[in-house]
Amino acid sequence: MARNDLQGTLDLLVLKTLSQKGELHGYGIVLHIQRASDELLSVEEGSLYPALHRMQMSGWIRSEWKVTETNHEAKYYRLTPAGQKELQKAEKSFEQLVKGIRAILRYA
Amino acid sequence: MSILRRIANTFSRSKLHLEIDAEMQSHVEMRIADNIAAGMPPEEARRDSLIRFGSRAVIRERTTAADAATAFDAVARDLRYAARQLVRSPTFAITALVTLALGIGANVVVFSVLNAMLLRPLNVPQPVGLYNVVHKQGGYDNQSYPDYVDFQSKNSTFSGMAAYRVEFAGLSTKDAAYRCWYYRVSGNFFDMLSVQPAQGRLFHASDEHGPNSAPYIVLSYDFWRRNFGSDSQVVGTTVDVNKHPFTIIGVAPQAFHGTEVFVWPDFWMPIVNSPSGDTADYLSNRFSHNLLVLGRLKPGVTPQQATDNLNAIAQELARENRADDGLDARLTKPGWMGDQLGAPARSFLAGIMLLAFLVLLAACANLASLFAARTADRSRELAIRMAIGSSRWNVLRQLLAEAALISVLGGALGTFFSTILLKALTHWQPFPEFPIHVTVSPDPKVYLVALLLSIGSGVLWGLVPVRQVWATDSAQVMKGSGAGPIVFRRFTLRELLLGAQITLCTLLVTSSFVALRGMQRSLHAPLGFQPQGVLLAETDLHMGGHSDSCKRHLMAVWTN
Repeated sequence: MARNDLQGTLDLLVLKTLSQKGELHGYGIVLHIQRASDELLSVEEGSLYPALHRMQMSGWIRSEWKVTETNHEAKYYRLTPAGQKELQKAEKSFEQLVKGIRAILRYA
Repeated sequence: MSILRRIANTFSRSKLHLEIDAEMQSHVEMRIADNIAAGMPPEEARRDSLIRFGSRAVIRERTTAADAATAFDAVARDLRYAARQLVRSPTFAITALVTLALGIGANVVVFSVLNAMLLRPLNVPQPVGLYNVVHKQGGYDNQSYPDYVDFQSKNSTFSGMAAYRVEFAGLSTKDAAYRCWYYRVSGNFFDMLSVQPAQGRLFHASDEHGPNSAPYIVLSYDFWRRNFGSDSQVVGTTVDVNKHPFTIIGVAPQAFHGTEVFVWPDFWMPIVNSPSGDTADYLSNRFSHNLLVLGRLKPGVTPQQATDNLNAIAQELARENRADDGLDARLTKPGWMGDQLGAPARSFLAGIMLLAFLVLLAACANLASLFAARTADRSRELAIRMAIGSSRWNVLRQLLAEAALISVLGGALGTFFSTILLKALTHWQPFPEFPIHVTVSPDPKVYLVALLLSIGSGVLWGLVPVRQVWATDSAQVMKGSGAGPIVFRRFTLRELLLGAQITLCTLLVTSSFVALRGMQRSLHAPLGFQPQGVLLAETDLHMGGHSDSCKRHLMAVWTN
């Protein structure tokens, strides 16, 4: 994970997760990223919540308190149209980053 | 939307904290539940969950810190940065501040006078619904006493109607004599205005029993304090007004200065009495128009309804009395000797206000060109800031913050100096022999206008560099060619501003010189006689209790 783009990558992971699962709470996002990446990536709780708050302030996601299947109160997040657009941008820029890094690695 | 939410967050930090805590708590609980489901002992499950989470306080801080880059924090940062920028270029800052302080100061002074003279109601307990009853034709504002009595008794739209007249007399006690301005008022005057005495009592309609039936006077608080040392023993004693005895029955409250804006009387006397002791003719003569009539509308009655009502009465009176032929009525704002001073005062103040506003406009044009020049000078700095990632919006906000800071500071400075000037004006008595007071202490309305003017002028000239910033091409500027000036067809904006400024200044200078020249001329206008060696002697023999025949005799002696 590129250290200097850590925040952007976390945003991308969260946005993508929400676009795949529709609606999820913070704990669910942590679990999903862990599972979907075959335990390769683990999101720190300490970074996730500030990021969620910042994304909500930017209007990319919105939240709602609901009761989970296990009968806990939890704050569920879902993507807004602005977040949808942001996701597309983030995916594109990530692909370019990967392409660029790969090109440098392959350079002999 | 998100801006509003940020501002709301700033106000409700604690609410935000509570919500974050609840969210983290639910996270920890879900992890514990999953751990237990995976077979961990409860205590172990709990510990694992909390360790994974780390310090909650830190997370909470970081979450609220996501807000810190926004709203008020950002504004405060912009203002701090703007202040630093201004300190770094003191010449620009001082020029801008002084220009703005002068422009806004002039407006605050003129608006305060306008506010005190025209906008503020009379200083009586209930100023709402008070009107002077005058004639339709401007300049004919006085009514005769019989007409006043008829208007008062026959109308159905006023809850009260009083008459008064401003006069000049000599008041003498055992030890001293004073030249005084005073009101002669109908008995119901104080009651209609709901004025309560500071000492003794005031007179009422019930004190009037025909001519010379109420030889009383009520002193003004100021006159009582100045000349009687606030001595309450004065009430009940007798003084002479034009050598006729009158009893002081009370003192009016300190705040009450009568019903005229300018003239503050020394005492009030019932209209049925007169300092010459002869009132019978005056009270019955419909031809002698020398009273101002002040009425209070009944609640819910519009001025138009009242005017129609009075005009109907006037027509009836005109049919009955030859003296009332052509009598009509009009309502006017009280405090200006009917309308005699009101109309000229209004147009005079409106004219001055317009001039002051033009001064501010010229100041703004000056500031706008100053600011545009400064932005052009800083184009390199701005371009570098944009090149290293600052957005255009950020740069603009910065420039606007600078403009707003200067305008509010300049406004405060201008208001401060104008307050000093206004205080001096309040204590200034233009004509020592006339009781004219100009009270213009600024009130919240004045400060609000000053603030609006400051912000308005700040935004006005702060917006000038917008296009400059928008059109900045960082690469080109840094190469050294500089930001191109804003071009409107063939003129640059700065040239247009300069043109506007010169036009306004020429207009202002010309009008000031015309006014000065006019005053100089009228001071030197030919009088039609040689004023050299001529002395003017003034005396009022009525004050010594002398009658008109005595006066004619004395005149004959003197002129020989």
